[in-house]
Amino acid sequence: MSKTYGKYNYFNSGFPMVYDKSTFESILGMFPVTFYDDFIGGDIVIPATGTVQSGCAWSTLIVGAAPPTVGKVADSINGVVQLALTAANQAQIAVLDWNDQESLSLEQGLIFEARIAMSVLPTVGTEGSQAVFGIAGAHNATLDTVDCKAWFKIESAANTALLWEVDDNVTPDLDNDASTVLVAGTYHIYRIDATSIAAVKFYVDGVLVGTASMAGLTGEIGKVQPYFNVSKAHTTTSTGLGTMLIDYVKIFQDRS
Amino acid sequence: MGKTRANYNWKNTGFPVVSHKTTVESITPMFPIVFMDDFLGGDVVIPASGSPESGCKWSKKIVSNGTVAKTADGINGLAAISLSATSAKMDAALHMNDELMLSIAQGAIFETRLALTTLPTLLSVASFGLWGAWADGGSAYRVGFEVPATGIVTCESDDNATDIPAASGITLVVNIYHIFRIDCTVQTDIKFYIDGVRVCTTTTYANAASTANSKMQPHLGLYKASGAGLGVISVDYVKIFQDRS
Repeated sequence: MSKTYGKYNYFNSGFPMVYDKSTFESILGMFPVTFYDDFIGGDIVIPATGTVQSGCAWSTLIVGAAPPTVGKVADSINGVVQLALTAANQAQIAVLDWNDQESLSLEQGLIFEARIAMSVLPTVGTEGSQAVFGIAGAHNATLDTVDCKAWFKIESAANTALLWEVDDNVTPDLDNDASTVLVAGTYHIYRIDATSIAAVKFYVDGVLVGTASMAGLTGEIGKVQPYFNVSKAHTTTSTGLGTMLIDYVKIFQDRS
Repeated sequence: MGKTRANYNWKNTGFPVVSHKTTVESITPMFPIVFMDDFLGGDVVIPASGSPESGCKWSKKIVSNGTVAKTADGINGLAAISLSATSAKMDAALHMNDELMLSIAQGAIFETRLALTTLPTLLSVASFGLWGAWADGGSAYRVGFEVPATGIVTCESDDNATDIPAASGITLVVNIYHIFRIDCTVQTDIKFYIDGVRVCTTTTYANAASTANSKMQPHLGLYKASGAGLGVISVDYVKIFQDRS
């Protein structure tokens, strides 16, 4: 028996999709613009922001003197990228993105999907640590300042509670409960469907967990990149941890 | 008339594939994990193993003075792997820098279209399939095709406990491309195909490697233990697909 279903008009996106009927993984999205990375291959080092390399879509942004790390995991089945904080008492940021190249558009029916586990849930070291993943405008060390975002979020203060947020640079809609209890090391498939920016939908393992409007978007603000961030601020004591594992990233959108 | 055929549950894998009706090339495999490389593009140089470059999935393992590189102006995109006539132990392999991210325990299917533009001579052996970590003379864990100087294709599964080689009865002719496929959907009954026809049908390839030892990378190479043997493989494409768990 086949493990897949095919939909001619997937979630009213207007485009066909073949997906796994058990996991709801989008297997073949027949959209005009498709990006897919399973992180398979011998190139386990990802270049740093500002020194990107031809042929590699990704870059890393690292803040911290006992540095957090971002890189592919050696010999990881299916290919995995890891973002990991260290316990050093300092501000740290570990980001995987596209070097702030915002080549995608929320206003073109963008769908973001990633299979992710937090192998170490964000932990409190007096001050909090946090993780976000989804789509965003240019990086900013202060997450709330990122001008445009639609992402899932996990905070150390309640680190098993999944949150979601959107911000169209007009009306932020932040810290919404996704009614999902996270367990360290357990993978989920996260999907953000912006087919309609008036009703951006958040899914976990195929289940709708949130809907919000980003109708205030204007053209430039709506340009985004895939964005994964594990970070912690520092005032006095910030020894918290957090490790994100990314199995794959798939993004689809219309061409206009 | 269409040149393709679509199977909803292709070879009982559970996943659909659109394939070419004549050549049986897997054109669009709809598996959770798909790796495909047609070797197109301006980047004809492949980095050396041990010095991989971000954005290039491949690396080349060279012992002595073999060569591995994309072929300039190769239509469809081609990678060439060759041994020189220098009398020495020699290895030239295209692989993934020993990053083992694929798994025959997850039903990996390996497919490649290639030709031997110089048939192996003397002690030279061409090999291609899924390997564990590279090792002199062949990985301890592997499933693949091997072609020695006779040109007769052998199909082999080795789980480091039981080595199962069997001759396919197919003899390669210089410069003739074939599509080789290894189907590990059932690890205890791995199947080999050449141009869509299953070969070694009377041999049961029961690979008992553990999950850890089932981790693989693509491997396409030429090896000789000694002597002046030659051989050139021209690789048109590599496609690998598997389930996510």
